[in-house]
Amino acid sequence: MTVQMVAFAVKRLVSAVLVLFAVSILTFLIFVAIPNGDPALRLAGRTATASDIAAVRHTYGFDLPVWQQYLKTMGEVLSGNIQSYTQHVSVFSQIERGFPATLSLALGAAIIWMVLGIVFGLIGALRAGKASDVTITTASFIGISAPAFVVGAVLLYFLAFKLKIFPNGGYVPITQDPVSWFTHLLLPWFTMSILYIGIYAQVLRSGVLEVLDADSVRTARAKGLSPTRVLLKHVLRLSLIPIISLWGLDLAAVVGGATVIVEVVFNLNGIGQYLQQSVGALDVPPVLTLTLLGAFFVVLANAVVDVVYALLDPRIRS
Amino acid sequence: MPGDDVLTVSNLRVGFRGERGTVQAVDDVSFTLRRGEIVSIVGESGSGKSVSAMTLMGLTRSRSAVISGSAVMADGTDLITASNQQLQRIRGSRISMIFQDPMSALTPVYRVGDQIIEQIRAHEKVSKAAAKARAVDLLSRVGIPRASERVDDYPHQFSGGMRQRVMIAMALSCSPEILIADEPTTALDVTIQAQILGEIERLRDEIGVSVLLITHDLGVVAEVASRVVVMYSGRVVETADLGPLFADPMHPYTWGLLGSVPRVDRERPDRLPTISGSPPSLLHPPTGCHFTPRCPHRFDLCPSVVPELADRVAPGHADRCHLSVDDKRAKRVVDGAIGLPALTEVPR
Repeated sequence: MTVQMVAFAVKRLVSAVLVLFAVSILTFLIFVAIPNGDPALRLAGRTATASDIAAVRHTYGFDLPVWQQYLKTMGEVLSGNIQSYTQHVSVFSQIERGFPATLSLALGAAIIWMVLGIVFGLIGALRAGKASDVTITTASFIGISAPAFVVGAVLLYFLAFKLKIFPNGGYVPITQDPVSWFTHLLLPWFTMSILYIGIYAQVLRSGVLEVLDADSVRTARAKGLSPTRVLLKHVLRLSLIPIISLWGLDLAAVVGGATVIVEVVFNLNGIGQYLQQSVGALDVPPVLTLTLLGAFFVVLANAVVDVVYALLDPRIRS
Repeated sequence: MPGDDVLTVSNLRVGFRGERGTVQAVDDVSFTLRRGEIVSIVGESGSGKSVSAMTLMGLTRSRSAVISGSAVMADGTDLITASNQQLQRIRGSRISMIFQDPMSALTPVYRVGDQIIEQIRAHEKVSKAAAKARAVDLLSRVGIPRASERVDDYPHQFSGGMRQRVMIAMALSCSPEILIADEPTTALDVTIQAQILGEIERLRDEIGVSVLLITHDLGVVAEVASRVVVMYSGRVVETADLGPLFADPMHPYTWGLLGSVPRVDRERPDRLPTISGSPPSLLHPPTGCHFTPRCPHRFDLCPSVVPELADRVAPGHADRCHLSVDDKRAKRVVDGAIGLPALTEVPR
């Protein structure tokens, strides 16, 4: 490890901590700012008396100044000891329950959209201007524009509810029944991917088209390399570099909870759905924790992507 | 055998069909390359020199390209009619090409050694170790110091001149009969230019490769070429041995090129002499001789009849100009030197 690399790592670590700190403050302040009524009232229950409410308020620290409430809540988050306001359960245990669904959805969709995005992008570039390219581009833009909740709901209604080809939503853990796990995730994977397939196909298509004209590719052809080798080892190798970085960042975003809409439509009970429910209930602890978790994944992915980029493109290293 | 023809190009035509018509990039180009020669193709941008070279390598083949004529190598292979597969085998092994901008010509993500090895192993059955040893040897032969270490470096770790040397090494890795160098020194500064040209000459002497050097720079031509082919607007307008081309040029365009080179041994003019006007559109070229609109010596025959490329002054010295040899020798002298006077009216 050179001094440079250590310094780089330290800098990234410090900036990561600062980002997470900022995210936590912003999220907390949002809840301070929005009119959410009195959480103590809700926690105390319907039949609470004024002194009950006051006692609850004191227990939860709602009578403390905002910055002290923040510190208290953050302390609980970081110690893993945080409880939700509405359910008297540990936030982390809820996250543990929901994470497998989110991970299955996110990872599966990410692999599908990466593979199909590359395939369609490559076909579109190699057959640029022809019928297949026009079809792929049109389909890409439909995929990009169609809202996930519409697509998901329509698919669910026709293919699951009416035709009963697919299960009607819900999540089955892989440990319980792998086949069922798979069939339950097919429609959600599809709904999740079409947006990204569209984006990745178009990004790769324009990347490949640019690289096809590159001087280095002309040299490769002039060397007498076979067209396949030129395509795989020179054209693709160069055009995939930005795609892989993009994928790393998108993967982090979906694992961190960008799966919300699809989870809600298909009732998968992952952490995205948990987040949605907590926001609806104005339940600060889970929202804070999940937001921090999502931010953490994004920050981590950024650092990993930087390293991977340097591995893939030697020009970056110097 | 010295003096053999390694490449005979006859009536090469390359057109690109588009929505608005066909762009005739190469129009009836013929020249010969003999063993051990350095032949230079000179012309400005759009003259068709690069397209001719790329066509010899088969790199211009596409649905929209219309290619005719012949380009026959020493063993009878016609590069114009050869199949894509045949050409792929010939590229890099019997004919190699190096390009103008060494900064971008190498793939940035692979080590230079690996890129040379890739070419060797695409054409010959050798082990990786043997190919690598050859790569190291090639790099040191083109003058790269510490070749055994540098073979594992990436392209961005070399300077422009060094990169061009790597390109030359790579191009010569399979001992080709012909090396096509398309403006190899244009992107480099003058001192490096001299080195690279010297390198090409030296390798020609050592290995015996014949060189087709494409350039727009007459200084480069004078330095290394033994024969010159002057191209304008897709056509060959003059071809001659080096001496006669500079001493007894037979085409107004060549006079213009020679006249536009600033002279160190003369008084500095107020304005640099140029050739009036600009190169014509290849989509709708002028009728007859393409140079007519810009030629101060044009007369009624010029726009109506395309001059044939023929030996008019001496065998081996061909030109495409209707003027008589005596007229040419008289008209080409402007202010005591060979040049082209400015046009008195603006060309259409």
